[in-house]
Amino acid sequence: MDSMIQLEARPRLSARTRLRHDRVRDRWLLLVPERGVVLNASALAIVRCLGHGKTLGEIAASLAEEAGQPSVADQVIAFVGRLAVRGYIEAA
Amino acid sequence: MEAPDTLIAELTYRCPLRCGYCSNPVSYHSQSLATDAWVNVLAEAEALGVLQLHLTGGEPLLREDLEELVAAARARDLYVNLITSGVPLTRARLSALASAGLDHVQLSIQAADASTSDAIAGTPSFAEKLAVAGWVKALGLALTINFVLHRRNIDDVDSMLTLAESLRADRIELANTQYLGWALLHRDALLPTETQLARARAALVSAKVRLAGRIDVVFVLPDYFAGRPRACMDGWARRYVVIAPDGRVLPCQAAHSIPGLEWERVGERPLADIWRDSPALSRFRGEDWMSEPCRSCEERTRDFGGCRCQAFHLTGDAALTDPACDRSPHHEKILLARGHAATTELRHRHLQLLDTILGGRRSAY
Repeated sequence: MDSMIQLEARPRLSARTRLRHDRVRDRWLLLVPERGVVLNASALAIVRCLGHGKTLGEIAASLAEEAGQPSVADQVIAFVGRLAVRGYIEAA
Repeated sequence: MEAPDTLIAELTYRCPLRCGYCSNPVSYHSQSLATDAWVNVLAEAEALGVLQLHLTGGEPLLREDLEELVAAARARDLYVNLITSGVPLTRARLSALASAGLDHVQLSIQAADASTSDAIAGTPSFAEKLAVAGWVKALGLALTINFVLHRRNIDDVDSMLTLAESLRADRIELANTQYLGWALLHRDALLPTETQLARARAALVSAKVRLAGRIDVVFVLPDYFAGRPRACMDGWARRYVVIAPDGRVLPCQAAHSIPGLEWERVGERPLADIWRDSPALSRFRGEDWMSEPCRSCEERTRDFGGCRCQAFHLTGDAALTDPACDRSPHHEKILLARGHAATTELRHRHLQLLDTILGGRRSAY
């Protein structure tokens, strides 16, 4: 599991999760068994990048560039790690 | 007012199992909503803000239109959870349910070994359940293995975890019995001892750490031992909307046991209107109904005063603080129940209303 949340990893969302817009509350969620994880703008940006063969390092670099920040690698690792610990992430 | 995010659809109260811990109503009418009524409910619920659907019962597999309901739910982009005993089911039918869009199966098992599990369920079902777990994984669906804990199986939590692990569960839910319905009538035979509970808790805390990242372990502590009440349903008519088999719109699966509340049914008015202003759903929503000790208690925003059904069944007044709270003047009722080292044998629930009326006659052997 630890190896999955390294910058070199290319994780994707588990097939058992579903990204969905909640139109009633105008927010995005990752739906998982019996619950939903509410995604803020940064979390949504990360989730949308998963599963396209990119490493977390590459994802972090492109998100940092978009946001005009020096580095978001720590945030990406922390967030993906939180998803992984619940089993919502699979190794590519 | 918040919109509900989860619909608990009780498709039928009928069930082939006769678990002694069952918290469903002890007696019930067999009437249940037709397929098109349920399809309408799904659409209305999604428009209201529901994202998660729990198809439950009773045993939802007894509905021949289950595939149709799953498909209707997925057409509305609901996340579809099937809460089931796994009986009766074939691989072909589960495959059809998966094709219809089922996301997740929560499968109940009564104990870690066949003879105890079958004895608690009151019917041979353990072997079938293991087969069902294998099919769920083979079809790529999410699998939760659910164990309801009570005095007779709580010493075996380690074996339960091992079993669920071997079944490649994504989640393991170990939930203590809720003392409502049949379970409340037989509480003295079900309530674990404090020593049993402490052992189980220690085993589960270490399992949660050991399985982190592989299996999500959910443990629901019995509120009889917690000192504080459960945040029952995360608050009355707040996040969850329950539709009973006959279409009654409820805040929880047991609320119809509280007298004096008139429940509206789907189809009589739009679900959004019922949710917004039905007097029964409004009765214990928010904090205005609270009296002391809840009214001035800092915990009220977290536990919502606990369980209204439990307050009613133990004190006779659904508007009082849940006696599971050690600040309740009725907390001694909980302490007394804990103190009863009862030797009563667990009795299976009866299959039919008739048996309940006649009292004690066993059926279906």
